[in-house]
Amino acid sequence: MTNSSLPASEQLQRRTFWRRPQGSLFTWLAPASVGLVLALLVLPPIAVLIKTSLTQEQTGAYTIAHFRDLFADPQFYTATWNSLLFSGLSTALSILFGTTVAWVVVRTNAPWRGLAYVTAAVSLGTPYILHVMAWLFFLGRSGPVNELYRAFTDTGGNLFDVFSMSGMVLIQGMLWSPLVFLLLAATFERSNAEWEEAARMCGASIARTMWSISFRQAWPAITGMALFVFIRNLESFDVPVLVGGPGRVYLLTTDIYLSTTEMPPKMGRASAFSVILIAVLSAALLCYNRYSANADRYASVTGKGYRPRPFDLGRHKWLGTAVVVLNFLFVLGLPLIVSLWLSLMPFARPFAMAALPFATLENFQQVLSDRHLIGLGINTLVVAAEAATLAMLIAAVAGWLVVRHQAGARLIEVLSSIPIVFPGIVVGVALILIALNLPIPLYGSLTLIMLAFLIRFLPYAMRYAHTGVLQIHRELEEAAGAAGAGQFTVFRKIVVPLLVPALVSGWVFIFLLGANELSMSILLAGANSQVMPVAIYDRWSSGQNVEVFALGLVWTAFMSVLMLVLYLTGRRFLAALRPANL
Amino acid sequence: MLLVSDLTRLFGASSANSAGLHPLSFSLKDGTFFTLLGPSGCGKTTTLRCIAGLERPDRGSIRLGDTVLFDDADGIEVPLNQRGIGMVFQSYAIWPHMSVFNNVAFPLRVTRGTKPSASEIEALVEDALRRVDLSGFGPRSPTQLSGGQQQRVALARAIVRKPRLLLLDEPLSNLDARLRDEMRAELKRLQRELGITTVYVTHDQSEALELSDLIAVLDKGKLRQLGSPREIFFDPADSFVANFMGSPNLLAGRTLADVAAGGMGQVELANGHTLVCRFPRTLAAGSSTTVSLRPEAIRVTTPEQPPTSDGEINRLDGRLISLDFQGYGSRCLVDIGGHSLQANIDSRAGIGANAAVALTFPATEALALSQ
Repeated sequence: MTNSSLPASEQLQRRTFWRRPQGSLFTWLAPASVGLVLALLVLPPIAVLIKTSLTQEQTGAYTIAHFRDLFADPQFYTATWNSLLFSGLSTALSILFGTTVAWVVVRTNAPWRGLAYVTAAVSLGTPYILHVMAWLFFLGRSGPVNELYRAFTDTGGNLFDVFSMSGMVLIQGMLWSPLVFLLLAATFERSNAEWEEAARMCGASIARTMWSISFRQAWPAITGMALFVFIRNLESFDVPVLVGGPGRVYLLTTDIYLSTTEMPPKMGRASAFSVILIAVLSAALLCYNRYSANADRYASVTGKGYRPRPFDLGRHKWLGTAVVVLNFLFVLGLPLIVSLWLSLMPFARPFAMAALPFATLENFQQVLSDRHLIGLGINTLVVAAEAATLAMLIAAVAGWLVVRHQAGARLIEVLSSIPIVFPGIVVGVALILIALNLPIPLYGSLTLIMLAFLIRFLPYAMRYAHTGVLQIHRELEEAAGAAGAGQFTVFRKIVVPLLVPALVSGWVFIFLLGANELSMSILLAGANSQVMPVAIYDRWSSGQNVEVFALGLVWTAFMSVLMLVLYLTGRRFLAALRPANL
Repeated sequence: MLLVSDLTRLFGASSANSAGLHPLSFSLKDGTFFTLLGPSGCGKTTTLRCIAGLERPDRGSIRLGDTVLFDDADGIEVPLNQRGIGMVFQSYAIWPHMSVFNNVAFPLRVTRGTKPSASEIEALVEDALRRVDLSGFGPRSPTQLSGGQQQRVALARAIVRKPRLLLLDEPLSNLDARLRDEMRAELKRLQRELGITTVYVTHDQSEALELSDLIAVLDKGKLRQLGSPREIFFDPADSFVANFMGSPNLLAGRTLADVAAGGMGQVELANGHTLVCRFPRTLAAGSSTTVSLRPEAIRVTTPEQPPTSDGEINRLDGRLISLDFQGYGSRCLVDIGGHSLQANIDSRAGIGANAAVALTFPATEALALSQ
């Protein structure tokens, strides 16, 4: 502790890469081992991508041909443009939708507001692929939208071609809006209601207050969120491959995937693509960090724990409710209803009363009796749980070291945040390359998928641990030191117990991400290491398009129950740990 | 005995005016209640944290009894967890995941080289809790306690090991006014009872006056005055100390003759008036000085009224600018030509705003201080 805890000189130390280790073994052993583990996880993927992108496949000689070919290929520019367009438009859609819902839910008295939280929570637990498949059917050739159009216009054509850029944007925008809603709702809740109340007292109307105060106040948060969502969209894979693939709308991520699936796989090209994508994302992220550094300037966290009084919408209450219900339908209701309908049909049939007598549970029977699928499910849970556990373990120590400015803090911070610029598909490519070059038989194993998850989700784990440590008052640790505890004892007896809630929520988040992850698993899953999202994808692309909905629904139900159990036991566990709320 | 010598701690560029601590020395006899007093940023908390071992001084040495805790010349630095000092933090720092008993028992369990038995721990914790009036609170969760009770747990935890030194970092600042008074009395009682050397940090002068045996007034990392509460209050070393101890009236002037410490002499104010003042420190003729005048020492009368007391040989005439009713007394602001002075006045004296008034006060109450 002697070399930590200098509040007034924090500014000075933030830039320190290395401080003279002092005191107990723990003081230098912890940073050294965490730094080493992080470096081993994070640096090889970049190294192997750069090396492969500069190596000729047959001869192994140095070459810049992969990059030259890429830049000479018109397809590269199309893909880049498509990626930017897709990300920009779907970001705009999810921000617009998510913000509106968040404001209605947090700041007005519209009835049924609570529905939005349920919607967001359940939708985040559903695999993206199920959402996407449902939307594809709903808006597709034989879906109700085009059916109705044909019925009314008497033509044989389609109103809407879902396998297009607009279809991709619509689906992706809906996929991301629950997360936008959740994050912005938190921002709106924290916002200083007194500013709004002051504006109302000065005589401003609700609309005027919203425009001049509420949104101005939330503007930095909204734009920051938009940049973040844009970056995530740039590296998204599910929608591009499922929607863009059949529609021949190729994006950077799908191009990388296609390069690896060609025979023989064009790993050089995929690596070059990946390096470029990492560069683009790094640049975007740099902007984001610059931007978000002063995004907090309006943040006003007051110690008073009162909830701001919501706006009374008066006669327009129903409008707010309409927004909430619409959100429920688009984000959760529609995908679930479509999935349920199809899963009950012996083959894909449009919505019609005439089809009802054919409804059968056969698909569910088939799915539930398939032993192979049960093993698959267990695989998925084990991999996700392993990755989440390891990530939170590393992050707990690393986050503490970073927040308390221990030796090597800056280095650890940089290392642990590097994977933010690795899209899933890129991690997949990198780990294939690494596994192929290693003497140990990692290729095609579950361990490899677990490693990919660990690398990819490490920054999220760090975010949870970091925030968690920040909430532990420094004096709690200092008091333990003054009471005679050494640094390891302080960490074990004070920091870890107080960090448990943050670690548990981080674990659940990463577990969920891992269990529904497609882009890494699709490249890394071997014959003996299948995971559920890949199995769903395979069945969908091979045309088993009713059974797959049953599988998706069963998986969703299972994950929901699991989450509920985790949540309930977790709450009991936390309650036992601390008798009263902090 | 706590001996602190040439303690120096600089933040940022080591310029003369930077925040931090310029060489500071003091020594405390066993059992002393010592207060570091000053405005925020004066270095009082830094000093405390250096003694605790939470911060490393740049230079200097700290000794407790015959143990050297820190000495930069010899490269000695005892880690904070081996110093055996009790400390109460500003936020109390009660660990929310442990019961009251476990909070208080923690120091006993983690101290190196000792392994007290469960029954010994129980006895010691019980004793500490009893001393702070929390008997029977052991099994409770600290989150169920009020601010004042958390404060007592923090105290119990600090004294449970019977340390040689107790450090208190603004422990009363988070309590409301009434609890503060109660805890003040309790702190003093506990300190006397245990006879433990105590270093107390506060920015509240009335707390310091009431509790301390010895006070150090700090400003911008420099020691302004070290003395007993009476000395600090009645004989402030300079205008900063006088002002910080609650004197709002500081008049710039010039000494007319050499005056030795403790003597009386004349000071000419900037507006031409001459006052007879007491000199707590020796000042040479012609040196610039600040005259400090406590509001309660000034008598406000109408100009016609003759002075009632022989001692009040100083008289200034002025005009009443404002009058704030505060009960029996009112606070008034009097313009004496270029200066305004704060004074207290009987609310029933019948003097209203804008009236011409005379201010009289004895020479012993007008202190000529170095600037």
